[in-house]
Amino acid sequence: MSILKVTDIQSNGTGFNDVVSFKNASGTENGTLCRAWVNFDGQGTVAIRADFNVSSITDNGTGDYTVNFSNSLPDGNYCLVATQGQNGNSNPNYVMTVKEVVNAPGTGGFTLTTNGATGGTADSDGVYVAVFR
Amino acid sequence: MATYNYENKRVIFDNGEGGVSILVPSPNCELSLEQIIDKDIPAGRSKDTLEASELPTDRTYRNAWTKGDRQVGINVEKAKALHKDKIRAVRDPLLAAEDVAYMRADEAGNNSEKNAVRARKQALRDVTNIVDTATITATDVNGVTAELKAVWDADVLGDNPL
Repeated sequence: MSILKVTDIQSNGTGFNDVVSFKNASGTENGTLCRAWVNFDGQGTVAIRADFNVSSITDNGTGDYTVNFSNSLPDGNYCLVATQGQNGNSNPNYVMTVKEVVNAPGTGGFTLTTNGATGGTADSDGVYVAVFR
Repeated sequence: MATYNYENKRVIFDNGEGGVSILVPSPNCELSLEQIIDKDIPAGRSKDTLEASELPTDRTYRNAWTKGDRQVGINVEKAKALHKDKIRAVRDPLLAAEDVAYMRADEAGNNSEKNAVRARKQALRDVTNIVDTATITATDVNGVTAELKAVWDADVLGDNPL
C-alpha cells in the first residue's frame, strides 16, 4: 500500500467539468467527488453558512429557494442529496421537494421547497444539499 | 484567484409575478457581486442591492412581500389572504372536534348541546370575517405584520400561535 500526500490534485483540463476520475486497478471508475454543496438558514434573514461551487441562493418565498452554481454542471442529470432541520421539533414531519415541473434542475442550478407537516411550504432553519454528477 | 465576501449584502428583485425574490450571495465566492447578479437574476428585472439588516426578519407573510423602491414592501390583501389560511389551519381540527361533539349529543338526544355545537361551528365558520373587516394602518412590512398577527379571535380559536 502506498500513501499519496499532496496539497493539490489537478485534472488535465481547465474546465470545471474536466473532473479527476478515480479508478480501480482494472481501470473501472469507482467514485466521484461532490460537485457542489450548500448549508443555509432559510428562516429570518436567509443566509448561507458555507458552500462549495454555489454563487448564491435565491429566496423565492416561504420555503422556496433556488440554489445557483458558481460553475455550471454539464447537464441537469445530477443527483441531489438534501435534508433539512426540524425547527425545534415543533413541526417534525418535514419533507423536501425539488421543483422538477416548475423549474427543472438545470446546468446553472435548481429550485427546492421545504414543507411542513400540513403539506404547505415552510421555512427551515437548516437546509443541507449536496450535488453529485 | 480573489474571493469576495458579500455575506451582508442582499439583492431584492421583482420575481415577475408581483412578488419579490431575494438573492443571497455566497459568503466566499470567486465571482464579484455584479457577476453573480448578471448570472443568477433573470435579465430585465428591477433590482436593488441592500444590506441584510435592511430586510424584514419576520417572514410570517413572506409570500405577500413585494419589491418596493430600495426596500421590501407588502401587499396587504395578499397578507390578509395568508392570514386567513393560518386561521383555517387552526380552525379545521376545531371544526372536526365539533362534528364529534354533535354526533355524541345527537346519540344522547341532547338538543341543547346540539344547538350549542351549531352555534360554535357557525362562529368557527365566520371567524375569518374578522380579517376582512380589520383595519391595517401600517404600510411597512414590520408594521403590517404586527397588526395582522394580532387579528385573532381567541374566544373562538384559542390562544394565538402567531
